[in-house]
Amino acid sequence: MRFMILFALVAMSTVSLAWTNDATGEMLQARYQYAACNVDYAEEWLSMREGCGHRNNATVFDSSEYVEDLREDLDDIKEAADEEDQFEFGVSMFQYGGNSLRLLGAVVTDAFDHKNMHFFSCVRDDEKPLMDELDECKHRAMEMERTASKKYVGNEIEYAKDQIDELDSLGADTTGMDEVVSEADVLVDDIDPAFDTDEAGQVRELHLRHSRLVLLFRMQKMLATIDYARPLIEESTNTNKEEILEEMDALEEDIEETLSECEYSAVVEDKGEYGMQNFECWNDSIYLFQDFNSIKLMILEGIFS
Amino acid sequence: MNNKLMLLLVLGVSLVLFGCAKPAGESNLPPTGEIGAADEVPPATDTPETEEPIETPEVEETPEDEPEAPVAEPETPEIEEPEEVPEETEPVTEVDEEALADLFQVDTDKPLEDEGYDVETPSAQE
Repeated sequence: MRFMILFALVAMSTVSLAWTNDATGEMLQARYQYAACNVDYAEEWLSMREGCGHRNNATVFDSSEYVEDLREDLDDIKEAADEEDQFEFGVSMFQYGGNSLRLLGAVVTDAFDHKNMHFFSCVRDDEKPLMDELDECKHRAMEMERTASKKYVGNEIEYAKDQIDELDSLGADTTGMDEVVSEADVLVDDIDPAFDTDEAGQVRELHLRHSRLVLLFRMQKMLATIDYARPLIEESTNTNKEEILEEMDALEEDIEETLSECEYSAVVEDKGEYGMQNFECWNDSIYLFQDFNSIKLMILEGIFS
Repeated sequence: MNNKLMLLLVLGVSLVLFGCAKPAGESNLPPTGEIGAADEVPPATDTPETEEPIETPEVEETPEDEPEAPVAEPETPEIEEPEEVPEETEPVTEVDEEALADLFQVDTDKPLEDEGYDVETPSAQE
């Protein structure tokens, strides 16, 4: 019973202390705008395509269901952005991405169904102004994200420095954490040049690098904390001392291994490969984070039992 | 305090020794201030003997005041230093351990990813 109360208290303190980035809402709104550009364009493009079909005696598939699905996804994205619900935003975005691909597949399939050259020529001519509108719309959304990105990463760097200061004041070795923050400073410098290109691919590279740096900072923080805490635990009278030290040793080994597998590179040669590596590194690290946080409970349990 | 007394003793003894060893009329003292002025008096060999002992105590008083400050200062830190050492080696207390436990907290949520940027839009490239 005592252990359960302790666990509940620790869980509550963890939730209440969770840090949130003040610029998250701005970032989500910018990305919603970007998605809205795509959906608006898709709807108008499909309507234009139907018009070309009518004028050139070509049958065109009924796309209303696809558009409806995309509109629903967009509503969900908007709602999540307004509520700054990052998880729901990610889920809605994933759904929207899937429905976009489904629409694209349907369009490609329909292109082989009784079409003529006049029809294709009509679509090519009439889509040009729509594409210009799309580019302008995306540009505005990316400008929103440019501003939000600087705030978002700036807040993270500030938060990271606070964590470094806390450990540094205790005498912990924060060299690894400092190195990650230095790389983050370079990332901030690269925001403007990437957005200046107006290419989504360049911005995506920033996202990939950012994701990796956040991961590596947390890894380095765990290492610094373990390194600092080990001698203190060894000298303590904690009843879980041996168990804690074993857990710290095992965790340290796993972190070192993950660090070597997830080495940072400021150059993204292959976005697909980099993104896949990020995915795998995060999947592995989630368990390490949980193991690390569980040490808090082990220490407290060893004090009070 | 021992150093101070020793210094005074040495000064006193040296003054007495040098004062006795030299012939009357020659100064044993450094040529400064009042002491220098006092040197001018002894050449009068005709002066009564009783005057000499009156002047020498004046000379002894001046060095007594000057070395006081530098001698007393170094003694104090020597006593305080050994008291701090045992505090550092004390084992971690329960309160410290609670603070230590609080350090084991890392965010588990993922940052914003790159959703939405690679979504394809339909075009005549179909």
